[in-house]
Amino acid sequence: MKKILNAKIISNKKVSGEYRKIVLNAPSIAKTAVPGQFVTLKLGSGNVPFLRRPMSIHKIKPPVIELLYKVRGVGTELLAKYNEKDTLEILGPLGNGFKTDGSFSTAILVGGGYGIAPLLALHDRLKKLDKKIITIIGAKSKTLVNKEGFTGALIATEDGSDGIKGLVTKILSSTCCNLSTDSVIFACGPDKMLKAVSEAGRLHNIPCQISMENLMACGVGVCLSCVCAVKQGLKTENKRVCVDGPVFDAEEIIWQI
Amino acid sequence: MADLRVKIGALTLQNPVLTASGTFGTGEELADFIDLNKLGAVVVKGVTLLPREGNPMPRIAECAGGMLNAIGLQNPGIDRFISEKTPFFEKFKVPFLVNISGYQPAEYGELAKRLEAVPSVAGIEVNVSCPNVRYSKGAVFAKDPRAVGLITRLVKKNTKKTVIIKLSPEVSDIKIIAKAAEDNGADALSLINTISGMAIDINTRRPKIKNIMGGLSGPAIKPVGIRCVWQVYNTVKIPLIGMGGIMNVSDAIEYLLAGATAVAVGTGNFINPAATLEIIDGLNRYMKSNKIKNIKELTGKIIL
Repeated sequence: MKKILNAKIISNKKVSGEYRKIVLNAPSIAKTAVPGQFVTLKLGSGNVPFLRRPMSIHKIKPPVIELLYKVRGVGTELLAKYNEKDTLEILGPLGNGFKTDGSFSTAILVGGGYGIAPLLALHDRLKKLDKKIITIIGAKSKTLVNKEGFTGALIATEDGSDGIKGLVTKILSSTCCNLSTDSVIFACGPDKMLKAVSEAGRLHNIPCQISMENLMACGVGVCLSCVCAVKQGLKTENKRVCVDGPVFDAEEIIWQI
Repeated sequence: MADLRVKIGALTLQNPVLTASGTFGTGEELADFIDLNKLGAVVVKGVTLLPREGNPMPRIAECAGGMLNAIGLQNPGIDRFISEKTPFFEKFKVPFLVNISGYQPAEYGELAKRLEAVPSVAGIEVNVSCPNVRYSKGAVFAKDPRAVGLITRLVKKNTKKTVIIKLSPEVSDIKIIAKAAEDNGADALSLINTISGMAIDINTRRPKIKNIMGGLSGPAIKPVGIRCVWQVYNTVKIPLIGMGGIMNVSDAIEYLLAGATAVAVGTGNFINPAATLEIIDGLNRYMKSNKIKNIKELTGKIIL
């Protein structure tokens, strides 16, 4: 059940490159959250920033959750200023997480830039389930790669400053060729990456779950701001990323890009 | 205990706090945070005769003290709405009001007729003022007193339920429009809908909303809402539901003092899903500390 709570901040600091991590004491959320779900934050005490900020849950370690972020606007700038022992009003857990109950043996995790955020929680979950995990991380450059917590991650950067030079799909294609059929791809990142990963999945006949991102106002399914086009039989329907997603079966999505 | 009950048309609401259409779904989505039975009424997301997929993305942009939206009335159409959404209403004692929109005046009459047959629908809020959809003649009905009068008449002819007309502040004289609704049988008025606005991304030089224009809501528009309620309160006798930028109890009281009988929380629900209940508690506290027995004693009691 989703709840609003004032979470005490355990720490809020820089982790690697441009990324920061905030650790929150949020027992009721940590207890029920599953990888791929998110929370929304009320930042500041006034009307700036006005809307709540949605953020993927990076790590679930009851009674604690961790959020990974990068300072890129008014919201995250303010978030970076919160100190230990301050409280932060959070609402969650929201949305549908990744489905890990299938009978697959190998999981391929593909994260693009900040899209790596929900994949660590998933990584931890899959490890507990004894799955073989291959993690592929892509970013523009080295400072945007966050591999903390992932063992043996394969890296691709657009400028070649870390791992191979190029996009995650380059690694994904060669990885997929050597896989048994009972694998699943889990991906989160920019739409272009997700579309390319979905296509690679289809080509190699590997099911693919993707976590979509979109501008949100409410995060709980009432405002219809964050919709994406999804196949519904022969028709298309605008589904809400916040409650119908954020994780979708890649085959459902009708790409607008 | 203070008496918070108010009358809107044929309905007696246990308190004057409603949800604004389009910010609360059908209530189902927020039932985890809120006991819906504690509200004055739930006004659900707008419905049209035929399904609408809504506007392209992006549909929203944050701005100072509020947000722009151009959702475009995404909804499953009246048939699916009645069969899939209204059974939920039956589980609650709180009245559910359905917001309707049309492209032609006749569509409003038809929508009212369809909802008349659904016992769990307590009343109808008529949206003649959505800034984000194009109507048959290109203009928003809410700008034309004759169109507002005609639509009000058509809806009233087709239903015995309480009928509320939701007006736009973007008119040269809102008193004339409000009078047209009252003269044609409206039971109450909702004031105000969003105000059309625009925002541009200076890096891409593109509008922040794909629809180019969107409706501004949130605290930024509250003074406009207060002004409209005040003007209309001095013009009509029917009750007014004040809305626009209500985030907390003091905003709500401000609307009551300006002349509103009830208030609706809209965008405020996005920031705090429990805002409505906090406002109800706050009204109780305010009345107790100011020794007010009946909430009606606040309506229009601005001191000039």
